[in-house]
Amino acid sequence: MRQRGRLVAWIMLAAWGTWLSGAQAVLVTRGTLGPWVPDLLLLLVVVVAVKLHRRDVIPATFILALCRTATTVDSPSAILAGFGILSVLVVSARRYADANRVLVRFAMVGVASLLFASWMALVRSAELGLHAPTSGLGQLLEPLLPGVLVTAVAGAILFQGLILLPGMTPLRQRSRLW
Amino acid sequence: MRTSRTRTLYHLSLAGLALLALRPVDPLVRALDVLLAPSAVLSHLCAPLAWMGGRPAIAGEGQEEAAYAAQLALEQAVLASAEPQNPLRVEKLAGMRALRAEVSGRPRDDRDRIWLRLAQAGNISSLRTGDAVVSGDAFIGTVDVEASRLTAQVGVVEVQLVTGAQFRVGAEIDPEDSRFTGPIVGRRRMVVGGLAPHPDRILLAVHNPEQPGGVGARVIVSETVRVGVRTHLANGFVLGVLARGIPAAWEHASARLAEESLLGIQPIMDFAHGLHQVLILTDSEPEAIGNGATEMVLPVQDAAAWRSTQLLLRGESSPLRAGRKISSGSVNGVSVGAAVSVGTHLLGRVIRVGPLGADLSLLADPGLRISTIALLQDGSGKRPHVLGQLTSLGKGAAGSVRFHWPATLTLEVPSGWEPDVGLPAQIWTGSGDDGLPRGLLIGETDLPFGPGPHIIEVRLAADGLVDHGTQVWVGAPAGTPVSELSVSGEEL
Repeated sequence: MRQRGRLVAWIMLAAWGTWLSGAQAVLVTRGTLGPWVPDLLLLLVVVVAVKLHRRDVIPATFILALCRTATTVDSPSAILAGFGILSVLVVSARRYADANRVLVRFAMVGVASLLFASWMALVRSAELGLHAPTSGLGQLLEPLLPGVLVTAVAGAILFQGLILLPGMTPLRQRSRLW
Repeated sequence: MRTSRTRTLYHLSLAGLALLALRPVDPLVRALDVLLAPSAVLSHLCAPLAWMGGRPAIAGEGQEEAAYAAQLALEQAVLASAEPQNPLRVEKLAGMRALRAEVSGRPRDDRDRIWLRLAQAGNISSLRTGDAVVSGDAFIGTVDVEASRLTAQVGVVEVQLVTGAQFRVGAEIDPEDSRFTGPIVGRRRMVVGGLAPHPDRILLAVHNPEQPGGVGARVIVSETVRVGVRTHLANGFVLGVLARGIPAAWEHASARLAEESLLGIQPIMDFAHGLHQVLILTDSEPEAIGNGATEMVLPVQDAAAWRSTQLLLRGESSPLRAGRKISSGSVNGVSVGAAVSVGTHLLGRVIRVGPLGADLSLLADPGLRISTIALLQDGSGKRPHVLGQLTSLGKGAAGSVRFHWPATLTLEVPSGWEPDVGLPAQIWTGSGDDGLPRGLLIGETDLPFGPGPHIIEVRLAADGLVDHGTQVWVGAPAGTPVSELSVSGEEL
């Protein structure tokens, strides 16, 4: 029974991840907000790495990376590596940082978002090669900076709420046991 | 101990993925695409979000009659681009057979060869090695029947371009170019073939020029009639303009060094990306063709080569990209490079394929490259101009997309036209790119004049927000005779 509940929780995590990333895609493309849309899926990766049981972090990160690849044409290996490395860093940091404090959450999510944006800009720069006129790392990173800032602010506000998304209770319960 | 080993393996696999992202290895990338096939299922979860991302259809969208009429006009103009403009060369065609063909691609391991798909596949057997291939007034290479033994079965013939290292053709400065020839100077003959070793420019190499001088003159094919050599069929067709290529590094060098600079021919064709429609010149007798049909014009759109598909999400979560997910994958026959269109309007090209879905790079996605032809509208009618390869630079102002245009073939100012005012043009796909058929409308722009490179702003024909009638190119079924494909035409 407990196993079935956890399976449903994983499926719900995939569904929430896809919807958050899909909504971000629609807002980035169609909305007037453009680059000022927060990366809610990345925020969920950080939340999962801070709040879930250590053994659940790797599969959860993999599922969330799948959710991102479902809504972007960015390189899947870059997303898997980016989310994976980020979750390793956050899991290491959670020993020392108290995520219940607003400023810590802001800083943690801001740094994570900046690292991920820089990583994706680096990969894109490598893909475009030296011959493309817009392949400079700085040029590519610049449009991502508003999103980094907004994601950090969203992290400070929504951090506790994202783990309370419907269907995620079995994952939360295991983290409490730990 | 066990936990530590698992953690090490996990960290190593993350490092491997990071390396793969920076230095993609094709087999590993394809394996990963198969492993991540479930993400295509997740893409379908976003279907309700498509209602948010879409926009109402604009009147006229989905009604393809006007677009098809424009496409037919392009078709006639593009086909005309294969024919010479100079009256002397037009006259020359009267004495031989000129078979219409389209560039369908080129071997991966040899960029100095191209594949041609003949309008009537049955004519392949009548071709001989050395038959000349021309495009407009330009000579581009010769047929290689030996190399075409396998490809001929699917209606394709291989051509060796004049840029090939082993290629040689007799040439001379055009006697009609009176500035450079005359009774005193006499004829200036030379051998042309391969590329000059110039670090900055693409120049055809000149071998054994008979006399010095003549820089700036037009060079034409001038081959004597000999046994086993058939390039004399293209006598009079243009190779380019004789030029002295001084490498940029020698700019401040002494006059002596400048004299030793490379002599070459500036071609009038973009051999890398600007070859689309050609004529094969042959004097061999035609073999009887089964149904006795006249030569068909190559088809613009072959319905059997397209599969209907669906845009799964009308958005892209990365601000650096302009892409879409489509519902067709490798099980539907989709391959990397395939065109995706809405009716006759090009939407983008497939960049990644999984079993159940594919990633589409829209025209606004920086780095996307397309071979193109412009249909110029200068008031005196519509005429084609080969643009070559355009590279997307991303979104421009007011919904347009900026493209890098190398302008290998410069656009001349028409008489009576203001040089500062761009020339209105429609941009269409050309042929020669795998998976990208010619005749798909990209958009409209005003083309600048003079040597490139230029940045042009194109008002797109399709923006990827309405997916009514979206289709993906899967290619003509192998072995389909070209004559079975639709659209009528006539032999030259």
